[in-house]
Amino acid sequence: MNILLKTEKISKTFPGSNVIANSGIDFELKENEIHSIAGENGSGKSTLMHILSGLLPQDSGTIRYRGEAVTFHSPHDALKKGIGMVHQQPGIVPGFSILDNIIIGKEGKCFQKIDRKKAINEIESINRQFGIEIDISRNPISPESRQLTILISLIYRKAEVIIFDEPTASLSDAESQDFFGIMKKLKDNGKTIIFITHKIETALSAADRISVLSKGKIKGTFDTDKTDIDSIADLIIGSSSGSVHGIRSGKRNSVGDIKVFEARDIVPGKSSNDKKGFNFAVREGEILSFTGIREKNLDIMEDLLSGFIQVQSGSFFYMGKEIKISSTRTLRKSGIKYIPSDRMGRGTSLTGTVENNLAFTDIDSFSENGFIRKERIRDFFNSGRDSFDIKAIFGQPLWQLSGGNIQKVILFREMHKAKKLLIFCEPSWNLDFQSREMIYKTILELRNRGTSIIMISTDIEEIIDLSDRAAVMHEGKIAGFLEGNEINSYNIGRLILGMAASR
Amino acid sequence: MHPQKKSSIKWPDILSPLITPAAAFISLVLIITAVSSNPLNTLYIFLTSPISNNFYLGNMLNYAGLLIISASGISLVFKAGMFNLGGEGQIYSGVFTATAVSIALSSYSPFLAIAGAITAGSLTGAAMGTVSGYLKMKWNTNDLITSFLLSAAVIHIVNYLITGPMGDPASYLITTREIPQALRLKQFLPPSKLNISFIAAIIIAVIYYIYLYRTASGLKLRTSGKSRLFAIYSGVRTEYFVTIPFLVSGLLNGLTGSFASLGTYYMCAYNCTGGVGWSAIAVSLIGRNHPLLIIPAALFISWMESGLSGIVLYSGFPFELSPILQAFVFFFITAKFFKKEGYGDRRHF
Repeated sequence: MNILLKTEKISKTFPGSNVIANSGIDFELKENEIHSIAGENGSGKSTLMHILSGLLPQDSGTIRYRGEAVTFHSPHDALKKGIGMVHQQPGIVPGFSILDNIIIGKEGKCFQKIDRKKAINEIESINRQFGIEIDISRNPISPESRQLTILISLIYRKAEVIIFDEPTASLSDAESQDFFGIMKKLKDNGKTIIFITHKIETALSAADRISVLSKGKIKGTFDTDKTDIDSIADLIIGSSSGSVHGIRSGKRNSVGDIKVFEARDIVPGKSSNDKKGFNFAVREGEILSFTGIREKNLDIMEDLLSGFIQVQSGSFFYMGKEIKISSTRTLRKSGIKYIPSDRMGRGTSLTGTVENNLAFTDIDSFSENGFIRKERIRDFFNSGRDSFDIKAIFGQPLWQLSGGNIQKVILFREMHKAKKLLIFCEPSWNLDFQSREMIYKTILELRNRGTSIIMISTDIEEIIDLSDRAAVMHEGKIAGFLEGNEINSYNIGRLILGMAASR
Repeated sequence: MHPQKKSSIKWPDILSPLITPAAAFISLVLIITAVSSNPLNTLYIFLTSPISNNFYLGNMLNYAGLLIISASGISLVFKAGMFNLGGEGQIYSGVFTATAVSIALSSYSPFLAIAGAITAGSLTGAAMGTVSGYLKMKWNTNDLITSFLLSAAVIHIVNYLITGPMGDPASYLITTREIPQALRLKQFLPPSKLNISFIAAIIIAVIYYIYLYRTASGLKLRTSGKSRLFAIYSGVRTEYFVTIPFLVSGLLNGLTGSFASLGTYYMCAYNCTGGVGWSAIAVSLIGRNHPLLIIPAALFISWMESGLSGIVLYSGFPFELSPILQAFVFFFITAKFFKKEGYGDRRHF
């Protein structure tokens, strides 16, 4: 097979972040193959695909399509050449049917009558050809049908190369099987396919070749029948290792027996037929951390613990008594502190003043007979400014502060009174190195004083450095618990990828 | 990320309540100059007629008082992050109920009749507001639409009642019967209508200020309006701050209607409120929804409306042009209002 698409030394850095998303990538796509791209979060997979589909311009390097150097200024440019992308959560026009979403932009000249009949015939023959079962008159379009809608619209526009970003991430197993059936038919009909995935198993079974990306570089491209799951996993995991923070918690192998918080058979509301619930307990003075990918794993855990998702069945116990977490109000009333991963939305009111952001979550203790005691808030503000080095002036609106200082406002508010339990999501999110060190030290101090901490983080390094026990999530379930020295990047990586940890 | 400022004082915030009236005033002067044969005289009448005698001064203040009460209600819902566009209907139905109840209770003691009329008028408005608030809380219905449509429907129901079953056949107007002399609120500056409602309005605005900026509940209401997710996260029962602001807003509009009935109109005539509810929205917006800034804003609008009728009466200024002048002011308010939305969040995020 000849080379259809080729990149030469593609590099991309995002301004302001210093993160090199793609660094000199040489990637080759053969005509009429299914090519899978694997790698960790932030390894540069999506960036590369966005460049290929015209969504992002590369900083340097060349894209060659059928041997000819091409420059894309927009996804529309790429599609004219025949390259189209189906995003993970594609945007559609709300209120339009699937049919209208497909033909929009191809409906004809300004005042020309739209020939829906012709379009319907054309689309239905596409659907028959590729085995797509969908009612194109459907409106509104369900989230699951969005990807198919975009796929049909790409084929309708004569796309030759179709890029899928995590196509099965939001699909059930049965739906995934249907999807792979469609993908096979696409290949049989001469299309070329790239799909991004973090599930190595499906990548190996569905693709002809697989490329592994890590830290913005291609680690290798293999024929799927000449490699196996373990060597791919090693390639993905192998590059991330060791502690960069210089802090080691000094793991606690013997913590008390007092269970501060416990979940028994918790099944999140609106979840599917799957009845196997979450079971875990955090003991006094212990850091239990959850890690994995965010979507459908860590976000569900966070929302369950904070009452943003209701429990379908099962129960939570706090200090030996059952509690129903119906909203964050439950946490506030029982004194459980919670630092959300959505710092700006949930965690703050940007238009409010700094001191109100500090005091608001516990405003009743800053007031008497319903009237706010401003001097109490001022004292609290001063102690926060001094102990957490928050650079702010009393009365200043929060949005005027730098990102790091906004963070500190939230952290001080939740950490200063944390007694029994703190739910801490993404501890080091958006913090510079020094602030990180300070936060880590504060976390460990809290733990040593007997506070239990449930940490939810995608940063594997801080999981390794801080946690006494770690629960790794995969496909919406807890794939395994790790303790003490088992908490290393190798084991975590394997569990995230859906494989067993080696003890 | 963002440079920190030494102080949190922002001049645009302080000046903007002044910019709107100033811009409106300049355009007013320009139009008067273009249209009037004697611009200076017209302008003089426009500016001074509202305070030229007790009658005009009293009526101007009385009207401002009604605007303050209604605008306080409108602003409360704005502060809670929603819109009450039903002020007009809530006030109109308040006028009607208060008139009907005061006439029905006229055989009892005046105190009982007046208290009964004010309570009934206020509750009518409160009931209308509660419907919008409850629908919003329960099904997230668009509050802008429910409050507006409900008000529009109720206006026609009142019109039907005063045309037919409750109408006064002896009057040449489409109206209810008049409220007996004994039940009318005492005039402070006869012959003007100025009465106790103006003092009540100032007290309401001050209480509203204290509630909004000095109590925990007021802070919860403002936070629920501006950052709902943060309020939920902080353990606030945000659903309360949907229904209750609408209830209180309707109550204040109903109270406005009751005062207007007992102290200004002495009856419920066809279309007697003539846009008080809409002017109250303008007042709330000019005053940046701030309880205390609402007071000067109400005086400004009241002065302007009084001055406009002054120039129509005394300088031969075309009657048809006065609504256009009013439209100019509303235009500037809306312009400022939308600019404010972009200020803060979007620019700095």
